[in-house]
Amino acid sequence: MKIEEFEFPDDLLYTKEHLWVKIEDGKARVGFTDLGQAFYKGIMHIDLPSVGEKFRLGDEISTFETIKSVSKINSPLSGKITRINENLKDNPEIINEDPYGKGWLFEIKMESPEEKEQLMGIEKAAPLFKEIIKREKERYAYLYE
Amino acid sequence: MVKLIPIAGFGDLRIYAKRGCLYSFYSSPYPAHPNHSAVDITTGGKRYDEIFSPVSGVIVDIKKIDAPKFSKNLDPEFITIIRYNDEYSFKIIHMKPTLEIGDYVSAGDTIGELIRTEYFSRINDLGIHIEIRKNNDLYRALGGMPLKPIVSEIRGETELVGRISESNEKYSIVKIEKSGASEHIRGLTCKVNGRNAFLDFGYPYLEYGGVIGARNGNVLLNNIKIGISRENIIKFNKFHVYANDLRVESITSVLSLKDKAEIKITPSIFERGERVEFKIKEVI
Repeated sequence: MKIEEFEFPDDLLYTKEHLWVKIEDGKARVGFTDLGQAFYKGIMHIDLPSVGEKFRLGDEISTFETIKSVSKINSPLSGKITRINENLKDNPEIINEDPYGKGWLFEIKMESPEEKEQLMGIEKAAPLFKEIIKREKERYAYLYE
Repeated sequence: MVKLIPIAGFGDLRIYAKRGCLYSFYSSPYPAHPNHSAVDITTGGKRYDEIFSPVSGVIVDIKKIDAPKFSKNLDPEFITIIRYNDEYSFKIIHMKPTLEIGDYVSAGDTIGELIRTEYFSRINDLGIHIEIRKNNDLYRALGGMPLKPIVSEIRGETELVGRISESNEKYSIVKIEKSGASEHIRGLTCKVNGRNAFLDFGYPYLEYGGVIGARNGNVLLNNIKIGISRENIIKFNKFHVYANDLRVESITSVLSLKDKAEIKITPSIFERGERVEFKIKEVI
C-alpha cells in the first residue's frame, strides 16, 4: 500500500514506532519503514545487539545516530537475537536507501508468539500512519507561506 | 576585508566567525551541544545566501542526504568534511557547498549556500553547525572533540533593558543597551558564583543551557537564581520572564559578534523601536 509518498508492503506487520516485522517459522526480521527512515535521514551509525542476546518486548535493543541526532530502537517482540545485518556496520546509510530490503536491522526468534497480535497489518496501521504524515506535513507548511 | 574572530578551539584547531554573526554552543537540542562538541553560527543570511567557511583545510568529502518527503520545499542536507591534518577534520552541516572535493578553503572564504533542512524549526535562523572530528569517525552525531570557547575576561554587567530591533510573525529581537563584553563578544551576562559569564541558552524549550567564562556554581541573572552550572551546563530552576510586564513564552540568547547583545523572544508582541524591560521571577 502507498500512503501519500510512503510505501508500506502489504505482507509485513508494523509497529507504532515505525518498524516493520516479517515473521516466518517463529523468527521475525525487523527493519525501519519507509516513513520511519524519513524521520531519520542520514543514518551514519548504528549499534546493533549481539547474536544470542535476549530482549523483552519494549526493551531498548539498539541506538543509532544520524548526522545530528541520537535515537533508540525498542524491541517489537520478546526473544533471542539470531542474526544481525552485518552490512550496517560499514554502511548504515542503506537503512535509508533500502529500508525494506538491504537495510533490514536484525532477526529475533520469537519467545511469545501471542505478541504477534500487538503488531498491525497495513489496513489497521494505515489510519495511524496517515495521521502522522499529515502532522509532519503541517509542521512544514510554513515553508509555503 | 572582514575580520575573522576565533570563537572555539581544540588543540591548535580553530573555528572562526565574522563580525555581525551570532554563535552558540548550548542553545540546541542536539546531543553534540550539551556534550561541548558543536558550535552553530548564524549570519542573518537567508536561504541560498552565501556562507563563509569557519575553518581552513582541504575538502575531502561531501555527502548529500535526501530531504524527507514531508515537504517539497525542504532542501537536501549536505555534510562537508574539511581535513585539517592526519588526525582531525572539521564537519560542517546545513550548507550546500559550492566548492568541490579536493579544493582548499581558507577560513572566511565563501564555501557554500545556506539551506533550510528539517533540522530547523520555524523560529530558527539559518546557519551552520560545526564539529571537530577524528579522521576515523567523521559523520555521526556523537564522538566530536570537546570544543573550548575562546573568550577572555568578561567585563561589565547586563541591564535587562533594550529596544526591539526586529519583529516578525515568529519572534522579536531585543538589542540590549548595556551588556557584558569580552573583546569582540557581546552577550547576556550572568553571575556564576560571583564571576561574570555569558549565558548561552533557550528557555524553557530546552532542558539545559550553558555558561561561557565560568564553569561551576549557582547561576544568577538579574540577581535571581535561575539554575546551577556543572561543567558549563546549566540545570535550570523554574522561572518566568516578563517583558514590560507581559510574560514571554520563550527567551533565547547566544553569543553576539555585533555591537550589542541580543535576546530573541516569542511570541512577537512588540513593535520595532519599542523599549523593553525584562524581569525574571522565580517560580516557587
